[in-house]
Order: sequence, then structure tokens, then C-alpha cells
Amino acid sequence: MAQSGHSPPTSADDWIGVAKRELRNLRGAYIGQLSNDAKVDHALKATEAVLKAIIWKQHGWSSWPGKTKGYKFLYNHDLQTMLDHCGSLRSRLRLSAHHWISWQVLANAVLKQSRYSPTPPPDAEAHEVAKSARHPDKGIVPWLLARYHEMT
Amino acid sequence: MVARALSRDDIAFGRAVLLATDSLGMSAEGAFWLYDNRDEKWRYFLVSTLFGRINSRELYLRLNEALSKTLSERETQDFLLYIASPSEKFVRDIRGHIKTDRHTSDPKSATVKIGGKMVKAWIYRLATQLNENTAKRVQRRFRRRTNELKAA
Repeated sequence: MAQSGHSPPTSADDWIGVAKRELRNLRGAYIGQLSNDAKVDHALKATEAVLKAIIWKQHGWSSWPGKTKGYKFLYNHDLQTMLDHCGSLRSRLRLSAHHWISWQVLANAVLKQSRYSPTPPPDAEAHEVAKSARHPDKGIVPWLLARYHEMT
Repeated sequence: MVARALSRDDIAFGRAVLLATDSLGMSAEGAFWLYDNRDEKWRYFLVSTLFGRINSRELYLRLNEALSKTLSERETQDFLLYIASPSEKFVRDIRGHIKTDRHTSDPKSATVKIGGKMVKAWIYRLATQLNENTAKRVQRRFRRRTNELKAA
């Protein structure tokens, strides 16, 4: 059963908690309990949460910014712009071919689902998205989590 | 809201990407830029029957490897390619406004309706979906040419 209904994060580490929770929810994809929409949604939330944690830590904010000019990207599921606000992370990601592919697969599916496609992705595509998010060696979320923990 | 103009360089680069995929034997049914009013940015989409026939990780891997050899690294560094199937709803919506033949690559500016919203676009090609036999042939050719390019 997917977990939800938690209070909004109050620190970067809280966002990491959200990312890990969404990864656990995504695990259902591998035991066949999730719809394809849900797979993409949990993959998006896990990725977005860890990016938000990195951005928060990088900027040293005391609280999460409101939906004001300059911070709209934090509320629009715009993964690309979030990545661009993570310092040199994009360049590092490009150097790792398999993680860069995971990023592309995920960003592609998430963008289309959140902007243009009212219909769920087919099984094969949803499986690729879940794998691209959570695979221990190739997945984007474990890679981003490792980068977060490297930050001082 | 007034859409930010797409630069001449981006328009030319989008055509170069499409032609590069043609040289890989991909026979993409479409290629276009769409303006996202919410994020205030242009995004490039390639429309191909191969999306859905080849898993998306393999498709991105082959395209990344091939485009890095046929286009300059400087050009591809900050470029993110979105891929869609010709049967996806938003692609069909756009094709309802503009339809081209399968070989054109001349960019045309247009305003299209997607999910009830008017969206600015630059369209190079938007042809009908390949039939099954042609799609199988294209899939074999694309794999063969990307393998050859990798080995070269």
C-alpha cells in the first residue's frame, strides 16, 4: 500500500525522507501492485524530493521557499530546472552514461505525463521508468542520494 | 502570456538532430519544438514508432552514442531530447493541425491546440505512423546503423 498524507518537509533531510518513502512505494512496481500511472508518479516524487533536498542544502535555506517568482520551478515538476539549480550536478550526471540515460527516460516520461498525456504509459515504458528511478546501480534516485550524502 | 522566441540556432539545431536521426535510418515520423507556457521554455520532441518497439533505455543509449558522433559535443551538452510515439494523444492533437510528408525537415512556425490549450510550436515534420512492416524494417536498420557507427 502506498504511503501518503505526511506533513510538509521542514528541512533538507525531511525531503530525503520523502524520497526514501517514495522509493519504498515504487518497490510495489516489482511485485505487480502498482498501476502504470502510479509507477511514474512515485518515480517523479522520489526524484523530485531528492533534488529538492540537494537544492535546499546547497542554498542553506532556513525554510522552504514559497511559490513566488524565481521559485516556481520548485512547484511545477520541472525536473530539468531543478537539476540546473543543483550546482555542477548536471555535468557530473552527464559523465555517467547509465545514470544520464536513467535521467532522460525519467524526465521524458514525467514531462509527458505531467504536461501532455492523459493516458497511462504502456507496461514496458512504466517498467523502464521505475527501473530508471530505483535500480541500485543505474537508478537516478540512488545516485542523487549518494551525491546528497557527499555534501557537507 | 507571450512565448519567448525560439532562437535561430535552436531552430537550426533541431533540424540537424532530425537529419542526424534520418542518417541513422530511424525514419522519425515527427520532430518539433513545443513552448511550455508554465515553465516558459521550449522543448524538442522526436516522434518515432521505435519508441515503444525498442525499450526506452536502449533507444536513448543508441541515440546518445550516435548523436555524440554526428553532432558536436558543444551542441549536445545542454540538449535534452524528448521522445514520443506517433500514437500519443498530444502528438495526434498536433497532427490534427499540421501534417507533413515523411521526408520534409523545413521548420514551420505554428500555434496548435493540445488538451484545450493553445501552444506555440516549430514543426519540422509530422507524418502519419509507419505501418507494421515498415516499422520492423526501420527497427532492424536503426539497430544495424547504430551498431556500425559504434564500431567505427
